[in-house]
Amino acid sequence: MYDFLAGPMLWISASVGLSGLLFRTILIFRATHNGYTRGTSSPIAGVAGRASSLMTGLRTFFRGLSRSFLIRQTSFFLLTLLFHLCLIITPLFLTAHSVLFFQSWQISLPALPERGTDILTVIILACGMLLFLRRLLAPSVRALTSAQDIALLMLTLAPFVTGFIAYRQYFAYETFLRLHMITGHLVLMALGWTRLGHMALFFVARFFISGEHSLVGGSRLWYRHSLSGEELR
Amino acid sequence: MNGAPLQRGVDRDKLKAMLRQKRRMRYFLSFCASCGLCAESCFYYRKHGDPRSTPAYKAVNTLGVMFSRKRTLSRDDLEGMKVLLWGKCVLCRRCYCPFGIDISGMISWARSICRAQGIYEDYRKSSRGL
Repeated sequence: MYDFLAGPMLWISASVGLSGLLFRTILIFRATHNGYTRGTSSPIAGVAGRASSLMTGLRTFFRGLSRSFLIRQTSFFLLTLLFHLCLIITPLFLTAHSVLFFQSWQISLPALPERGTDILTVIILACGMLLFLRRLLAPSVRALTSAQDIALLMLTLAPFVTGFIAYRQYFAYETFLRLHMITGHLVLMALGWTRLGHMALFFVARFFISGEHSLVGGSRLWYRHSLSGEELR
Repeated sequence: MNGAPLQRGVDRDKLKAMLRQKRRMRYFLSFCASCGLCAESCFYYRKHGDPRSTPAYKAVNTLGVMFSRKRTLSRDDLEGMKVLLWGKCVLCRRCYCPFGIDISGMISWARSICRAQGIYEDYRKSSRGL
């Protein structure tokens, strides 16, 4: 069972997850149109198209950021930033995972000290618990919460709990190692086809699609321009 | 039918066609993490504090329901959405979503779908939400 979970199952779950992300990204791109007219300083290029220079790009970015919840709800912004950063850093740079990467593909990623990843895991679990409590206690979020939301939050935290127990060898090491791998595979698969897809689709929405929510004034438009830049002027 | 709004039942073909026209909204709803961060940007929610008036709640329970139950949606369901669509939203477009989801566009399109089915807020009869 261990060999299957560590071997072929990784390819299955990774392809299921990645194909889902790719499929949904393509769907969004197919539903939009290219609003970028090359080599013109038309209103389209200025307003909706790609930023004409680095400075305008940066200005758009910071204007978008200043309207974002970074300013409105700074504490929650820091909480989710910490949660998501640790969520990505911890599994990638864990020493034990680095060993596995090297054994399988001769890739050597920098590995964090084990004490460091322990602290990161605890941070993830604490942030996850805060997010869970917020779901239960804040009325506006509770009204939105479905069973799927809670299940996905628990699923995201599960590999970290089981991995922590397995690494520390508190009890039933073999069982928890397998549980850790199974829940990890489940998260990978869920990435593509559930709300966890915001991992990739966040960037599609905020960096490629032009509009008031865009952070850099992307080049995709929801509608097709029937007028050229000259005619608009 | 004859182009006149139906008194009972739902014009299923029109409903499906209008949903297909804005299918991008379904893609966007599919990765709403229901984080509830849009709540603070809604002046209606901030004024009344009603958890069922946050932008995401209004969009998910109107257009989201139309997408997920487009085959079984009844006219009463659509009538029930009137409170959310007209009563609790003024389409000021100030709702802010960290994922960049256009919430007010969804509420606006849900209103259009309801109007196409002959369901709309009759301001002469009630002043609800005004």
